[in-house]
Amino acid sequence: MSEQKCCCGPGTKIQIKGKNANRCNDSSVDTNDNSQKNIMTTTAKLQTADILGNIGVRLGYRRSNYAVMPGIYKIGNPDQDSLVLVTSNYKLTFDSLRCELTELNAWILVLDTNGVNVWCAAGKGTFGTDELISKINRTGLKNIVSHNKLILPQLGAPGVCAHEVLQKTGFKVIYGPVYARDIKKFIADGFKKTPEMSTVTFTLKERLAVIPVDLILSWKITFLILIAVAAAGILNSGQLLKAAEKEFALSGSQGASVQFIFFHSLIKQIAIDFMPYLGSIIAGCAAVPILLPYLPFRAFSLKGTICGAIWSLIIINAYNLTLIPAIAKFLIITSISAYFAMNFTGATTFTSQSGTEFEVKKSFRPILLFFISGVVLNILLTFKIL
Amino acid sequence: MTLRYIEQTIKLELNKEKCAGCGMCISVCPHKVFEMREKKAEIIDRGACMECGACKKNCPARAIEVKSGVGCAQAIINGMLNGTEPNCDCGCDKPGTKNNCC
Repeated sequence: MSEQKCCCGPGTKIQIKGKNANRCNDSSVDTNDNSQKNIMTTTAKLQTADILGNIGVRLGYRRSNYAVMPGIYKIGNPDQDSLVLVTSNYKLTFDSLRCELTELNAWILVLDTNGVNVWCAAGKGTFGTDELISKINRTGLKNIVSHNKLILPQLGAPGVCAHEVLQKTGFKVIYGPVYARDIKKFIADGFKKTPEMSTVTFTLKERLAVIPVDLILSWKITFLILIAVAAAGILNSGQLLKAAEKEFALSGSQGASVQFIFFHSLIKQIAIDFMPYLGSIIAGCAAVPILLPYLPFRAFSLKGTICGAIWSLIIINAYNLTLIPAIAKFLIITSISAYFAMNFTGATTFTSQSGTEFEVKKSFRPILLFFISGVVLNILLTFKIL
Repeated sequence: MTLRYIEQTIKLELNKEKCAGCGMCISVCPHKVFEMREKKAEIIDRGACMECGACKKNCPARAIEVKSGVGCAQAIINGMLNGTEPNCDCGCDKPGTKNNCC
């Protein structure tokens, strides 16, 4: 189980093709400084390509390379009194901000977070004090606006030290709402947040949105299991061959060839054998996130064990397994489900590092032990030792 | 329904004597851990803390202590395997390294 998955989305150094970054020479601001040339234009309206891109990135396509050019953008017709909103250069984040800004004239200061969303980038420090100060200076923000207020997304706060920014640049950081959807209300209410606007949620809809990527990122393990199942199937295919020969003989040598019948039944057998394990990955990567608030225990690995155990009971029943194969299935299915459920901690919005560390230290060995014992049992069964 | 995680490990501390009552911690906390009481911040729900570190980073009075980090099992397993601190980067933030994680 050496799948290297990152909890916090993309992190590669990216090369941006300034697709969305239409450079703009027209302006209503001062022209005697450098900052002028660097202003880019954007709109509140998403194009079809943006929407398709957003769907793609949710499925893992171009996920580590989905970025916009960092720098200063104008939306609408901002002037020197207009608000400055700060965000990351992950395109999904940038798009969700700008589409909330209809009928608003504002500046958007995009920090270079290597195409990572605000919260994760703040955790890594790339959405941070130094980057903010550097972008303020490099864009010549002081010459673009006459006030000193910056509105940052609240989730940028783990990376940014507001009083240090004030001290070093004169700009006052105001932490806005968690979600871009509340930004207009926040502005209209004179920068006041309700407790709800300050609180991060993890609703069913939000959980569903992260499942596809989790499933797709598990493909390496899924593929390895498929290979193992196929290998075991081929090793045990003697009976299938005999059955195929029998069927061919019964058809009076008139029907499909022995090879065809054999191949067909082998594929079918591998699919049947693979189903329990595919299900265990779905249990950990999808069932646990969906049922998260309803499953008992705080530890995700235990939630995964429950879903895995239920799935293995269904399989044992459906496949009419005898004791030893049933134990083998149970051990492998629950350990896979527990492992993937535990990894889901990285996609959540409420797990602490100390808690996750505690969970990993307690669960990692039992999961490994379950998995290895299950695999050993299966190998013994495959070679007819048991 | 509010989701909660393992609570007994959380070590968030607020020094009320240092607290100047600016309310910054309340503004940045994503889980309503703090509340203003008698012009000072108070921890009202330590167990909801996810150790993001926003409060500590933005407290001008340096009244808050918390070890911030990522609540991600994969990051912790990576740290265990590589003998480093938990990290979410998988080395892919460094230019030139192959991105096999995110």
